[in-house]
This record gives sequence, structure tokens and C-alpha cells, in this order.
Amino acid sequence: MQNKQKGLSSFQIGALVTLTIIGMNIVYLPRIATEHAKVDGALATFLAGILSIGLAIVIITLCKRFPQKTIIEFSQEILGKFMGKVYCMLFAIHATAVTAYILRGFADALKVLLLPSTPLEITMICMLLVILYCVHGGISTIVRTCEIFLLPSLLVIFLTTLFNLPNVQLFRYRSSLSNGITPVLRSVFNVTITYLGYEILFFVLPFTKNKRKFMVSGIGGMVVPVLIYTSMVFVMVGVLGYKATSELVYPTIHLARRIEIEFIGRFDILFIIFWILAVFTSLTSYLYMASISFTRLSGMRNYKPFILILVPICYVIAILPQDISEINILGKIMNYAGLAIVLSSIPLLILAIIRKKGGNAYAEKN
Amino acid sequence: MLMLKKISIACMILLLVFVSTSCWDQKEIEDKAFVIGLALDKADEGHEEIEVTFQIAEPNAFAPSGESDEPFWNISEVAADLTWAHIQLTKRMNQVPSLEHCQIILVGEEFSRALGHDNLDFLFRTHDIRRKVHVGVVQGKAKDILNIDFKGSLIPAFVISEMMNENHNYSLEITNYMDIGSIHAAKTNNYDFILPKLVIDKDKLDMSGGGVFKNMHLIGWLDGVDLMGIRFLRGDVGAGFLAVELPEKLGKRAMMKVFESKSNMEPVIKEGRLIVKLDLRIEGDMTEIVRDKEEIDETEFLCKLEELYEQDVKNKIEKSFRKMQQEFNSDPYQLKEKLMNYYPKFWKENQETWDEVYRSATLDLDVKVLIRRVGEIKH
Repeated sequence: MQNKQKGLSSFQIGALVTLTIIGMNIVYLPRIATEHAKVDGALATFLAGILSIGLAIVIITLCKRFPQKTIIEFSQEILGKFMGKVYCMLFAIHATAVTAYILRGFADALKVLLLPSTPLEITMICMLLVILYCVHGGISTIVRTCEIFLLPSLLVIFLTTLFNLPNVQLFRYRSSLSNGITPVLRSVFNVTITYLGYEILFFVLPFTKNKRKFMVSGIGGMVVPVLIYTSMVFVMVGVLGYKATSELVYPTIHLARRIEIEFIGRFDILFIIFWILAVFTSLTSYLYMASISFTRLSGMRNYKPFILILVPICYVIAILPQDISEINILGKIMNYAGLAIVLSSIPLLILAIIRKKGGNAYAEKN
Repeated sequence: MLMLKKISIACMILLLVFVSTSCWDQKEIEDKAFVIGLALDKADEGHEEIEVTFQIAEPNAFAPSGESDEPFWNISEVAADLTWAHIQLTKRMNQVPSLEHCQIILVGEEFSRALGHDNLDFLFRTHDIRRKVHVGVVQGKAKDILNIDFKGSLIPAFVISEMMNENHNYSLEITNYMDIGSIHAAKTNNYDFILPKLVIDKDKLDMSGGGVFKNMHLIGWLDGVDLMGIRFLRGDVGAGFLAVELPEKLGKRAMMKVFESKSNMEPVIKEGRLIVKLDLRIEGDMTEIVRDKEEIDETEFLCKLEELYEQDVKNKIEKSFRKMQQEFNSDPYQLKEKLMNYYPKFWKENQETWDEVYRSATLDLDVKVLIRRVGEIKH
């Protein structure tokens, strides 16, 4: 079945990972980073990025032991039938809930920033329909969409950082590390959450063309968000100071609003438009993960009917929270669950090695 | 199969009807009233009430075949806070007021002395107002500025916004503007700042000097010369003119056009005392030298001039620094913030006694004036 597909190139894998990570969280990342780390927010972001790359390496090594399988199959092999099923169930529920959370966060932000009198439901339903269409095309469609959207969405984030660079007051960094390393390390944990999205690596190996280069392309896809996030937080703290940054709901939008160019009256609108593309791609990735997990769990092959089942569920979860604080609670649950999922790759890898599942010999045999 | 395809196409078309018919957020431009300027004053009667004056553009006046004679009109509302004033507008007009194109926000003297702190929250919170909107403080009533009758039916809000945008690049007596974004940063970081001062002087507008804000309240006024010293300390020196009186044997006075300047202020802690160290470098051309024709060696003359200028600039900075320190006890040049960042340990120990530390601070000036050219004629 999988072999029928032509396979994804290394660049496509990188683009997919990058755009799954960069999405909703880019608009509030500086707030998370400066809340606890204060002036060392950029350092904390960077360290969290390194940590995430480390986790991604673990995931890739784990996947490489089972080149023809996704997490849903090989976790059952490692953990045993029952435990594996439970684990996959959690994974699938997590992916569905994250789709819903991103959808809600996105619709809320859009209502506040761009479309104040458009009903929330319409924004969400329109987005869901478009995602549905994209995921329906399969992984190759998703990846090709990522490939096309990579440049515009990265460019607009890069420009936001660049245009604010002259306003950075370097003296603000004089007191770096004045509070010791402990608050930095503590906030690394919080910031790691914003890098979530590389769970997609669990799924793509069977579809890649060049399986040897999987490590390089996966890490390449991780490096881009690390650089973008770090420079974003650096500029934010340099321009506004950490206190003001941690008070803003959408600090990155604020940064975009500070830009005034003659021929673009409002740069923030431009930013939001291209940011929608980034949100779209992360949504498609998560919906794909959710639908393929449920499909494989139920032992079926065709995942397309499952998307149609999942979309209304996502919508219901997304519409449930009543106010911003409830959305934040949902977000917190999602983030910790996501962290637990990526961290679970470590015990999985250890177990796989101990139980001698997977590996080179195994790969050749199959 | 063909049937299914037909049905799905029909569904698609039906969907299109819903998706692409209308836009919820569409507002015809004629239905919008563009507020281009805001003036905040304390209401005459009532303790806590504020008077908000909206300057609203009349789009018809901009059309080629404009029928309206006035390009703008002002409307004042008395309300408990800004949101209410904004809502009250809808009671009186057939259009929806939109703050999207607001150019300036002017705060009146009484307003900023008494109520400034509590009434700006709306401006920070709203998504409608751009972060880069210019803010200025008015000596007297802020709404009077919006009522000025400029010649050629210029719109006060636009005129003032352009003045704030540009003029500080030409005169050292004008401060650059603060926008809502930086005021919010100043509020959260609790540092002092200066807003450009606007005053009506016999139906003429004057924008030199500034109003000093501490804890978001107006605490005093600065004239143009004071402001010059503060701009040197603050580091936002651009271009402008500097005048100096010459001693008798050299002539009467001289004028220099500063085209480039660099300033770097750093706090230094020596034996537990705060020293404000300023490195200033000014480059300029002479534009005017008033003196009798007399042969003086050119090199010597320019050296003398540079020395005179250095002394003059030093005096000005010293005077403004003392004024801020002794009279207002405020530092609008981010000294506190710099100290926090340069000496975090010292700051933690002396946080409580910052006022005393600042009061006993001394200045260490290193001013270098370089005169490059003397213009079309030789001295």
C-alpha cells in the first residue's frame, strides 16, 4: 500500500516538521518565554529548542528501527498488544484534541484581530472544511502544501523580526543571567511546549523516499523553528523589555503592529494573513495524525472515512470552552499531554532495545 | 458513480453560496466615521469625569468634487471613561466611529495631572488603535488644539501628527513622540518619560519642550533648552541647531548645524555612589558667525569655537540633569532601567532607596564637538 506512493523527499519532510511546529504558538511564544525566564527568555527558548531536537533525535532513532511502520503498529510490538492499544488510543485522542485546541485558539485570535463581527463558528467551520479537503488528499498533498507555504509564512515572520531589529536596545541584555540559571532551566520546560508538533515524525518514515536521510531532514526541520523562535524572543525583549512582553496576550502581533512602512499601512494584517497559512499546515498535520491513528487502531486501511468522523468531534471540542480562561486550561492539558507523548519515546526506545524489537536485521527481514 | 459525482458537485455549489455571498465584517466606507484625533481633558464639573473630543474626518471633503466645506468636525463627550465616551458617540451620529485611523492622542494638562493613570487602559487594550499613534501633552485644554483653524483648511490632527513625526529631526528643542506601545512599556516597567508639549500661543501652535511624566502622572514642564540637555542624555540626538555666544575678541555669536551626533549614557557605580557617565560626540557645520572682519588664524578659531561649544553643551546638560534630579526627582532617560541591567546586584540591594541614590548621583561628561565645515564663505 505505502509503496505505491512515490515517497517524500528530504526537503518535504523538513518543511512538514517546520510548519507543524510553527503555527498557533508563534503569536504567544514570547509571553511564555519571558514569563519565568525574564530577560533570559531568548536563552531559555534556545535551550528548549536544543532539548526538543534531542527528543526529535530519539523519536527518529526509534522510528528508524521500524522503517515500514508508524507508531501505531510498532508501539503494539514494543509494548504488547493491550498496552500498545491503550498507548495509541491516548495518542489518537491527544492529536484530535490538539486539532480542536489549535482551531479554537486560531478562531479566537482571528476574531479579536481581524474579523470582529464574523461568528466564531463560521471561521472554525470554514477552516475545518479546508483542512478536511487537504487531509483527504493524503500525506503527499499535506506535504506539498507545506512545501508551498513554507516560504511565505517563514518570510513574514522573518520580516517582522528584521524590521524591529533597529529598535533593539542592547543594554537590556546586560543583566542576562543575573538571577542565576535556575529560572532559565525552569522555564525551559514551559517553552519546550511551544516546540510541540514534531510528533509528526512518528508517522512519516514509511512514506519517505530516502530513509537514510531521515535523520538529517528531521533535524533540519527542527533547526528552523529554533532559530526563528529564538530571534523572535530576542528582538521582543530588546524592543519592549521582558515585563511588557509578558503582559501582552499576542506579543508577536504587537511586534508586527510596531512596523510602519510607507506602502504597507498595516503590517500586522499581512502578518496575520500569512500566519493563517502556518496555522493551516499545523492543523492538517494534527488532523492527519489523529485520523491515521484511529484508522490503524481499528485495523482498517482506508483512513478517509475517519476524517469525516473526526471533523465534527474536533468542532465540538473546539466550541466547548466558554471563555479565554477555559481555552487556556484546555491548552495546558494539551501541552502537558503532548510533552508526555514526546517524552514517551525515550522509554519506548529503551524497551525496544531491551526486547530486541526492530533494528537493522528486522528491517531487512521485512 | 456518475450520480455521486453530480451530487457532490451540486453540494459544492450550494456550499459556495454560503461561503462566498457576504462578509460579516464588511462596512461600507461611507458608513464609517474615521476618528483621526483624540483629545482627553478633565471635565469641568464632576470629579472623575473626563471630556473626550473626537476629531472626525469628513471623507467627502477629500473627493475631487467635494461638496463639504469643512474637512473635519469635532465632537466632545463627557463620560466616566473612554469606552463610554466612544459609545456615546453612537447616540449622536448615523455612522460607526472607527479608531483605526487615529493619528494623534492629546492629553490635557489637568487630565494628565489628576487622572492619567486610570484612564488609558482602553487605549492599551483595544485592538482598533494602532500602536504607533502619536501622543502629546497640551498645556491647557487639549481640545483647543484640535479646534485650531489652520490656513488652507489643513486638519489639525494631521498637522500635529506630521510635526511629531518629523520635526524632532530638525530641532533639538523638540522631543520625539511617544506611541501607545512605548507608553504601555513605560507603564509596566514603571519608568518616567517625556511627552512633547503643545501649547497655543496667541493662536499659534508651539511644540517645543515637553511634559515630564512620573508614575503616569504629569509632574512638570520643560522648556526647549531643558529638553535639549535631556535629549543628549537620552541618546536620541539627531540633527538640529546649536547657538553659542562668543567672547568679545572673537565676535558676537555663532550658530552651528548639527548633522550627526552620537551619545552613550552609562551608569557607573563607584564606592557605592552612582555616577552618570555620558559620552557625547557632536559633528556639525557652521551656518552663521556674527563678528567684525578681523584676521584670525582659522585653525585657532575653530579650536576655540569647539571648546566654547563643548562648554556650552556641558552647561546645558548639567542644568537639565540638576533640574530633573532636584526639582522633579525623575529620570526620563531610562537611567533606572540601565542601572537595573548594568548592575543587577547593586539594584537589588538599593532598590528601596533608589530616590536617594538618584539624588546623590553625579554627572561625568565627556563632550566632543567637531566642526567640519564653515559654509560658502571663509570666516
